[in-house]
Amino acid sequence: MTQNSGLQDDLNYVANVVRGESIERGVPAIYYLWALLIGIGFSLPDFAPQHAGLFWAITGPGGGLLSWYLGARAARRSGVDDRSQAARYGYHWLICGAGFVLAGIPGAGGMTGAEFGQGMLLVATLAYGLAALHLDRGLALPAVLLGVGYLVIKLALLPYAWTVTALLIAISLVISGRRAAA
Amino acid sequence: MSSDASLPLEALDKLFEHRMRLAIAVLLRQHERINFARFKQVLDTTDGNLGAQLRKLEDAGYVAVDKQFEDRKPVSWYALTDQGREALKAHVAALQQLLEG
Repeated sequence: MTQNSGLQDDLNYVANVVRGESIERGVPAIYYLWALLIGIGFSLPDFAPQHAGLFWAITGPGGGLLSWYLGARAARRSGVDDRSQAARYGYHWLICGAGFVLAGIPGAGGMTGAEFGQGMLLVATLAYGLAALHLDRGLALPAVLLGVGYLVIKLALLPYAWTVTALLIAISLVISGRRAAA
Repeated sequence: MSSDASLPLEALDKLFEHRMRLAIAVLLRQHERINFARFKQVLDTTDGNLGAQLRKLEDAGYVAVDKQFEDRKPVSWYALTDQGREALKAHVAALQQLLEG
């Protein structure tokens, strides 16, 4: 074996190790948490629209903090403590949280509840879509369903569109969670 | 052998000529800290072999170890030192030069 082919073998070994290690998987508990919150929260506009705002005001930041805790715990258990990656996740969802707040501000100026909800759904679609691109591929299907749900609700194509969207997203998150756990 | 060809060879770091040690350094370059159990899983090796390779990197000052107790079990977390980072950078540059001829 020549020296160069020996080196090439070693580099192939290192490349395979790094490739195998870097498959990013989400944290199942976080998928299940958001499947529950979205399942309930997105159904509220159809059944109890007066409670939807309060529900998300509490569970939005609360769910974010709980997700951060679950993510940090899962990272420690997996044996990889990557603070720069944790910061990337944190900033992504912090910016998205700011997006929800900023998108909600015009609501005080005469926006209807339905328009407000649609705005939130659009921000959620972007938040999940960008997260699927940059952080966690497991969020791709929920992001697509959020986008489809936004269009269906915006165009008023279906009765109980919020509930149907909620159930589809919750199911897609459970599927992603099961894949991450496998 | 010409002197041009021998230059990258001399620049290669002996410690990184073992592929498992090179893989350990590259993984630590990607992630801030990795524990012993994760290395064992990813590198698919024995405790003894992995421990020996990590010890060599530690003795050279390339890797720092932080021993903790988690759920009453000892856990060793490894991180690349600045010296290790520089050594890896130089080694990879020499490798590149060598492979490109």
